[in-house]
Amino acid sequence: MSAHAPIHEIGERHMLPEGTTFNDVTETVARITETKAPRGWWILFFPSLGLLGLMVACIGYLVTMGVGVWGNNAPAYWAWDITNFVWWIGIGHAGTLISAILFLFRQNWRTSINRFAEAMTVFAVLCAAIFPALHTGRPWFDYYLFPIPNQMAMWPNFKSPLMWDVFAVNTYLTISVIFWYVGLIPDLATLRDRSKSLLRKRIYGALALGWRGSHRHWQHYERAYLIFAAISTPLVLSVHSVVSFDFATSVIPGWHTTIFPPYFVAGAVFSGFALVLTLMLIVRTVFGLHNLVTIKHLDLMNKFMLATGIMVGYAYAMEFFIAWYSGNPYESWVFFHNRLGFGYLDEQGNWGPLWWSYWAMVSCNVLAPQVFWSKRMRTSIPVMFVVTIFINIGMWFERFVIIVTSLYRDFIPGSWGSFEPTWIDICLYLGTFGLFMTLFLLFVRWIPMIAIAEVKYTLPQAHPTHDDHHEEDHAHAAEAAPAPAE
Amino acid sequence: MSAEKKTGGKKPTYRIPESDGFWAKTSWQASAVLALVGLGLCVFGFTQNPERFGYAYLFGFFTVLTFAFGGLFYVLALHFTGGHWGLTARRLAEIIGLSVVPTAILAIPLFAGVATGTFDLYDEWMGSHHGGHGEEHGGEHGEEHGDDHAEPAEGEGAHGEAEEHGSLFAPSVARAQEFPPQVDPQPPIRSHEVHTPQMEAAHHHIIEHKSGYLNQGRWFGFAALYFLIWIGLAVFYFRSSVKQDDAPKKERFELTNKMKKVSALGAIAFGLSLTFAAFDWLMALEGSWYSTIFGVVIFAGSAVAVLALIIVLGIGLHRKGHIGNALNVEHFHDLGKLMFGFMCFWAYVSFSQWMLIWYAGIPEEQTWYHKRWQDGWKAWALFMMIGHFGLPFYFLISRIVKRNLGMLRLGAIWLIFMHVCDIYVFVLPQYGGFGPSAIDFGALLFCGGVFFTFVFRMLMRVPLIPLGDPRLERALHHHQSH
Repeated sequence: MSAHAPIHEIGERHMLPEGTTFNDVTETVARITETKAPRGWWILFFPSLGLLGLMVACIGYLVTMGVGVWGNNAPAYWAWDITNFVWWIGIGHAGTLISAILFLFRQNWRTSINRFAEAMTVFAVLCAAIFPALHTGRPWFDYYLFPIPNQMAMWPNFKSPLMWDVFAVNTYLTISVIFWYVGLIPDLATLRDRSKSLLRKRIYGALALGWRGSHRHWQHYERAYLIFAAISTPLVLSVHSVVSFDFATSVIPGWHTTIFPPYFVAGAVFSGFALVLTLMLIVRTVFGLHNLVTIKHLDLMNKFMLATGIMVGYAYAMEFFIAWYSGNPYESWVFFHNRLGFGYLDEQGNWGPLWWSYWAMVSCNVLAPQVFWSKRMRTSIPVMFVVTIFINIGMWFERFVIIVTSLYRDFIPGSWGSFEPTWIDICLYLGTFGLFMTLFLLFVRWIPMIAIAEVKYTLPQAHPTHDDHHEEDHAHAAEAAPAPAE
Repeated sequence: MSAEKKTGGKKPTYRIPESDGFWAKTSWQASAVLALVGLGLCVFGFTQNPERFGYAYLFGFFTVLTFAFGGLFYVLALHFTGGHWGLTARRLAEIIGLSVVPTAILAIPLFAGVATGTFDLYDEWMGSHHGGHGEEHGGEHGEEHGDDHAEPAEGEGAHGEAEEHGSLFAPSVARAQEFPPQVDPQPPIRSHEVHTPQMEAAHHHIIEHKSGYLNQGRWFGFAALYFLIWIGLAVFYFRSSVKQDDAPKKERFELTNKMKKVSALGAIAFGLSLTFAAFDWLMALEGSWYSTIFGVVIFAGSAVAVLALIIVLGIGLHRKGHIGNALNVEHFHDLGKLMFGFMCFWAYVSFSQWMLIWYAGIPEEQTWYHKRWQDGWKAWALFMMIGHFGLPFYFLISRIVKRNLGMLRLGAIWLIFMHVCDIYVFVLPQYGGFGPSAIDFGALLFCGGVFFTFVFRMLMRVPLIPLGDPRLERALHHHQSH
């Protein structure tokens, strides 16, 4: 760990306000689960519940009527369903990156946001899983996807990347849930110890798995945390890489390109950070977490988005350049006619009718984050809120562009089509927000949404040598008491 | 200096003393001797077989260049992330990055050879743009190789396999027939991949399409631009860092801020120039082939290579006590983890490229891998998978290995060797069938010798760690939590 005094002259600052005590951290976080929900929570909760109902209704309708109620058609066999799937899976990646990779890189600032982002990972993967499950057409046969011995001697086709997806996503979900839960244990014990009512004590007590905070417990905990971080790290790469294989193993121009795996991963982290930040800004205001999620955290997250946005921009540029460089007219057609809307006109002298979606994508994903070059913009809450919304939209469009604009005007003009979403496409997508937000709001209300123990770890007084060198900047933060449970 | 006072009884100077015969003299002198031996082999190779020498020299030159890439990356990444644990290895990276200056000089024979047509590396597309050279050259090609080569000459090899190629490229034949027959079929420049007149026409058509990018003027112009960017960055970071060593406190902060400021845009310029250099110098060896991930693959290999080299040099200096405790087992463990991580990343991107091309099975994309599977290259290709990933993965994953300096050094030396093999398989299969020659070895020896002479000389001239960095204290007292 690196609890060292920041060097102000080179722009370093303490992440948390000076003088933050261990008790402040516990109080700020645990209080949320112990007091009545603020009005803002209810204002968000009821619409979310409504949307969740809408999702259930849409799924019911879809299962009854069949996937024909979606706007998918020939040639746009995949459309909003897979777009939403990839988008939601991508959202989850920020959580894993923050909890695993930033942990391995000892980025201690992550402690204020990791819990929150990990929870989003779990909920986002649940939302994502709905779409391919329904997309099979007969979701009651989805168990065929698993290698279950059966009398029909049917076996999943392991040569298909769609099959790899089933395993990648399930592994991801399992590991994410366990990792999240392991991290929660000390904090659940804190809630247990603070409980006033017997019921609360029992429930949190059961969830805390007998945590007593002994040295032995901490030793096991830290070891488990490290192992899970190491296991999760390849998962950050593998899940979205496998999702990209769904497309890239094909021979469809616009899908088949070798940069897809790292490009999808960068895009996933990019979009994940954007949604984490969008929600964090709301929650931070509603629950008054300004002292734990400071503007410095937000600044760093914005830098991350700028970096991943540039990586995504690099991938767009490579795809475009190689589409032309390949000399393959079909590749060029997809990029110039279907997407860019420049050159390669059809017989009527038009370019692809969905060209605007490509431009929406580029504007939101590549142009919008460029404002973060300026420190003033990176530290302005309204600006970052708007930009993260843009990125969320842009990343949805990215998947839409990849999927639909590669399909709807392909090799043979005779088979061209177009794509229009139906109301059920729209309602189902909105409905998954209901699922996500309902779970998310329940989480922030009942589970410590900031990792109490881990934040304490980053405070200067947690550092063993804290008392050795009192320098001017943390001289008055000298509350070197050991971490109390309350 | 605060950095020095905490390192125990003996004050390390972080300099190589004149008294150390190996680091002060033998190292660079031996490198220089190797470079001279390499030069001799190069001259011999050039007179014997200039075509082969072109490929061999590109291999040697690019291998050395990737180390410079890695060095630049390490320096840029430390600055824009504000990381501190890796600081004490930064001076080594700065010196390796600065080797792009001698590498620019090493590039001169390559560019001269390409410009004059002595090297036929890019004749597939460059040839058609300077007069009748390509045709003439291509005509002679087959015979020449038939005589000169001990290994299966590509001309023969290709003819011998015509049937196999024919079936592999059957879809291309069908596609080729779409093009009007009046397209003047260009004679095959390297007879390796173009066989029937239809295929030649199709091939020519694609090469024509690319002439806006693949042409001699742009190629040379961009090459100059790349070197300008790299030399600019390397010199800026080296100079600023050395200046910081003895600068007063206030100026040190200013220099750190300045270096940080340049790093973000510098990284973008670096990333793009690396990508297009990889396209221009390696991917364009096969004018019709393309892969969007290619730049990332080269980048990943460079990162592994430089971390391995830093580990090897660092452990050497650490053992002699020249670097004090500034690089100790904690730092090497972290550098080892990073090297391991980038090795996995290399495997990930290399696998992605290969798997997607294999799975889709589009003939025009297969050519690159086809060449690396035929004519004796198969064993080499398999060796890359095992040697550059499989074996070192199981070796380096262990914490015990990464914290045992002897074993870590062994792993790092192995990865440097594998990196050289990796660049070899990028370049030489484009020349023809597998058959290592003294010419390849000579080119590597020459370029590598020049590189190491430079690196060892520079190590003598400057302190071994960035003494003036404000965060140095932290890096010196780096302890791991995991």
